[in-house]
Amino acid sequence: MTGIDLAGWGRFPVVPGREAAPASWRAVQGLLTGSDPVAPRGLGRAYGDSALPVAGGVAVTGTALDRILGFDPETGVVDCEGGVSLDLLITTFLPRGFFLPTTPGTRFVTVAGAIAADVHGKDHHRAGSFGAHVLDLTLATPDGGLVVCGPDRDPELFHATVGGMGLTGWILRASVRLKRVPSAFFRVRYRRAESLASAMAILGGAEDAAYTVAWIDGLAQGRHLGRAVCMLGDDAEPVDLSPAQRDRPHHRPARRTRTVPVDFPGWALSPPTVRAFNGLYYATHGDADRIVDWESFFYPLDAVRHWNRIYGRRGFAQFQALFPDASAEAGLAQVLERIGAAGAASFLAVLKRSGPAGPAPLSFLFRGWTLALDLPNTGEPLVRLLADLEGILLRHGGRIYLAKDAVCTRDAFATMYPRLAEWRAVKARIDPRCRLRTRQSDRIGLTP
Amino acid sequence: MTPAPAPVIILGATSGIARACAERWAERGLPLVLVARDGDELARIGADLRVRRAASVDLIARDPADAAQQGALAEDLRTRVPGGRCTILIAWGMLAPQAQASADPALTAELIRVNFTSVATLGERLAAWLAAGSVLCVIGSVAGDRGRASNYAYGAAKAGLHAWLSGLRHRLFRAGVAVVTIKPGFTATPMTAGMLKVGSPLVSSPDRVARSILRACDRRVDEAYAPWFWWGIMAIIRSLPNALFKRSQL
Repeated sequence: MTGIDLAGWGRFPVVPGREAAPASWRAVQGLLTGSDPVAPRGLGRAYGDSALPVAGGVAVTGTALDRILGFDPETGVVDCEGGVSLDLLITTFLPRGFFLPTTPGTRFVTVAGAIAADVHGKDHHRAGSFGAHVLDLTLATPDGGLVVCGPDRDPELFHATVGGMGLTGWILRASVRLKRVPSAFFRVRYRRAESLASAMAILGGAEDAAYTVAWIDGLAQGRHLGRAVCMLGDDAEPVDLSPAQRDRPHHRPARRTRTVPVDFPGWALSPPTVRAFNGLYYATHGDADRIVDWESFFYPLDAVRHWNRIYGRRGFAQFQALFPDASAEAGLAQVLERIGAAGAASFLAVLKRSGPAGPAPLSFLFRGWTLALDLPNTGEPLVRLLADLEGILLRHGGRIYLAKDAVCTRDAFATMYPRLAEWRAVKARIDPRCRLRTRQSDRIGLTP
Repeated sequence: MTPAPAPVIILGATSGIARACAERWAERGLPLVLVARDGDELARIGADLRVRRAASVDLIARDPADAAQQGALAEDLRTRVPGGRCTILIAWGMLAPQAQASADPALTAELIRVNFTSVATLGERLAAWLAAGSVLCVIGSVAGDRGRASNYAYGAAKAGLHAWLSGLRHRLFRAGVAVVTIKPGFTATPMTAGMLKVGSPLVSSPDRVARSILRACDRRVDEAYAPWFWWGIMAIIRSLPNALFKRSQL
């Protein structure tokens, strides 16, 4: 076990800690029954402190347990360990005609992490979140045992684990239903929207499209507030493809990845440069229909390794808000105005229509609108900005997404997630001594 | 008709380097026999190879380092290799901080048993039936090239292993059996977790080491560093006069 500096993807905050990487189920059980509090960790893509250990605790990283244990080509159900990355599932099963049931904006997360954060994607309005496609899972519990649960087998524990940030037991394995896809490509309609209301009208009117999302210019103000490029996608059938693509519709096109080699200096992300970038993006994405491969469609940022270095040594916070339908337009406008007033340079923000809530008490999404954006760490001004944004959320019946949070307060969290008591009852049953806890869980009151 | 490909037997198959080697051999379509003490972990590794690589994998849940089981294990393996021609990788090992070993004679003895004695005793039983064309590949260590303050019990066991392998190679040469000694440098595996500097350019991935191992087995080389550049580093460390070496922080 090594003493190192640990951080999430946003590198805000950074804390000293220790990290262990068990390579067997027994080693996981040993760490859980040891003396130090355990912070479950996957590929470290949660932005804030979701996977950072409390003082004296240890981050236990699951990436060495990455074995695929079984696959049924009839049903598409894969049985795999929690440390398997979504990337490994894609590279293994896309050539066989299967893709993830739903995917977040990066494929460099583990299956356990995807369950723990109950991640969602551009198809939430149709597919629900990741947990909806999990058939069962095995947890290593703090008493040293193993427990299997699923929607029909100890459903309280299962639903508390989906979205439960890994705090209801270490997710050793899960079976997940993959979906059959006609090809590795998507038919995408790009539609420009000149304002927030227009973006919401386009996305809201396109619920028959399988995948919908809008990239918003977070710096546009006044009558351009919320101007966006909307993307409406559907799975491409072989008939939509070029002859070369049609021969091998599930083939992974070779792509170059680039790496950000060093931390960018602070001025690189000043408002003028970001404004220029966002303006260019908007100007170059006119209305068009295109065939796009899965990598460009789902994971544009994965093509740039270590893109978080663009925000420099001080890191950044990600803010993802969810508003219910009734207050969404007003709430979103206030968020964009407040960020504009702060002059906080944010790259394109992501706006998404969300579908109905699932059964998990801590799962993020319910029916409404969700907006995600990056905010560079400017120290005290960032903390004030995030506090103001939290206030806007509370006034509009909204909530934040735990996988991206670094600052939410205990009281705000309890208001945003009214089913907290239900979750805590399961936590008390499985982990009465709070062996599994993180900086975030202590801060927001998931653990005392 | 081409003869069936000779199987690959991996002993200590749950180690990080062993798993990386198994993936690469499975990619070539070679049938695998995996042996390890922890049957549950072995089953998971076997399942992964079957699903991802469509590999033909036989599993034997036995502790290959346990002298009491080695007779039966060697006999079991012999019956799985008709004709006696195969590739064998011995990949088990054990590492502990030297300070712990210095304070605990039982740990020193265990390091020497696991890393040296147990390999030699099983190796003799395998050598008795390996046929011409076979490869016996064993993972040694750069730590065996010169004893250093930070891990000399482990290093001494590996040094003994290197000498033993040299003798076995000498003996089996006329029988057409290649004995390959692999000396990995710092490798990021579960065995070394927490003992290496993360991100150092000297630390290799298990897959990088596996590439060196497969190349060495293909070419039936006698000794190979993994990766190759450790040859240069160890040439310098071996040639340092003791007067200098004992004052160093190596």
